[in-house]
Amino acid sequence: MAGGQERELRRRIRSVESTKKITRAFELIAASQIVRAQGRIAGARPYVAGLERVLATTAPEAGGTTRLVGAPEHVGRVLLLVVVADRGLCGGYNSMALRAADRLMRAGEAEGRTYRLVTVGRKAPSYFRFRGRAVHHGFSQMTDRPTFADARAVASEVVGPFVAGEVDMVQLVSWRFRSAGIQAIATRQVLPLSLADVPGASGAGHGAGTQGTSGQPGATGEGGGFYDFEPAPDDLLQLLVPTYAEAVVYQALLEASASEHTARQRAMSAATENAEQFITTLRRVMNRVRQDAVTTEIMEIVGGAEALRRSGPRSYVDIDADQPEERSA
Amino acid sequence: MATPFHVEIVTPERTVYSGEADEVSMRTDSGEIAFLAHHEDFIGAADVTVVRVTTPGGGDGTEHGGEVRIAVHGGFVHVDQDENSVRILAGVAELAGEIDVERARRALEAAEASEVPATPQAAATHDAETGPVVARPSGSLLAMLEPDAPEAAARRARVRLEAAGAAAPT
Repeated sequence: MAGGQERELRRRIRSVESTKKITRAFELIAASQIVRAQGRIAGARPYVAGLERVLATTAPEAGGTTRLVGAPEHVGRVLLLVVVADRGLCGGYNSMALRAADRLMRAGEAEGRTYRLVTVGRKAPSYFRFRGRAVHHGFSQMTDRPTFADARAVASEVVGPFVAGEVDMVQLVSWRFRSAGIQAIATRQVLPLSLADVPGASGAGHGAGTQGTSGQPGATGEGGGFYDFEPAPDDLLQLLVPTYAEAVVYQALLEASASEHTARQRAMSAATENAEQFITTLRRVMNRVRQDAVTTEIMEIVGGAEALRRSGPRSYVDIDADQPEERSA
Repeated sequence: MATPFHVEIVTPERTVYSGEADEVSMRTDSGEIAFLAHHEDFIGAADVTVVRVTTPGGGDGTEHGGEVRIAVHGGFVHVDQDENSVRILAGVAELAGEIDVERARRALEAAEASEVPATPQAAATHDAETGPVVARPSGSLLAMLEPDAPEAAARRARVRLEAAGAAAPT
């Protein structure tokens, strides 16, 4: 019946409206989180920049060859760190990163590499488990607002096996946050540290101790002062590289978090818009249904009156008096 | 008297301290060290240590008559002669005023209670983990790789108490 249809539509509109309220709330929360996440990224920059200067100065002075720096001789066992979110409702944020990681591993396995997976974000273990991949360690509940302590926990799971020689290389797949408008998935090599990735240290390489003293690389500039190292550069590097890896992980978490909030804001804003459109459509349909119902009712009344008029002269007089009002309704 | 120079104590989460100083003293892996203005270029590994920054003029509203104390839990010192600056990069650093003395005391007691039996074992796993790669396992490396080791926890707590100006028990 017509009235039932209208009631049904009304209920659906209400339901879409409450969905819209929820997506709008998520959108606003995400928007405020983006600003804070960006602030944290900026806050980490002085530390990372400082470490990079120290690294750029120390690395060329370290004479001994070390596994920590440079290109790995043989890459068989890789530790892959994947950073995604705990929750969905953020568009393709999770699935794109996870698929990128999966592709990377498949390509590597074709070359005979083995992977050990360490993941951040609740969405990762379920994805990989479904594909029959074991997750060595899965962190969660840190991507909303990553702290340095979180990064340390992750880094120890990543740096430890590398330092102990259990893996030959550490790679990282995560979203990088360049600006509010630009985020992209990136694969980075965390360990061994590639000096080409450290600003100011590129090209110098290690094992060039004698050259290093004549011209200080990078930030020390034209002053050409001779650095005092304590402990010796080799030992210092053993401390610096893990510390830098920690900072890299921290930065990756921060950027992933900012990207996640951005993706969520975008997805939720689209959802809110969709809900609005849907409500408009539903309302239109509902109005038509209601109009139809009213029209039908009028038709019924008019039809009934006509029938009565024809049935007898007595009732004809009564009904005729009411008719003009009914027509205008 | 002394010309001031710039001091920065930077952690990944924030810049804990930034200002001018006459002198900065701290402990590195090889011992106590103090920096004055125009110290020559230096890079060192900072121990878990109290950094004392003597601010110029003294007594200009800062606590301890011109001395600012900061608990630094391992990191690196970078002295740049050209910039006339000392930059301390640390994972964690706290100003004296931010330290929860009670918590530090409790942490120290807890750490000392479990220190004696656990230390040799912690050292052993530590050696096994680092193996031949790290030839010289130092205090800061231990703090970095085994932050939960009671020995490391006790050191952190002692440094916190020292920075806060509270006496450690025993």
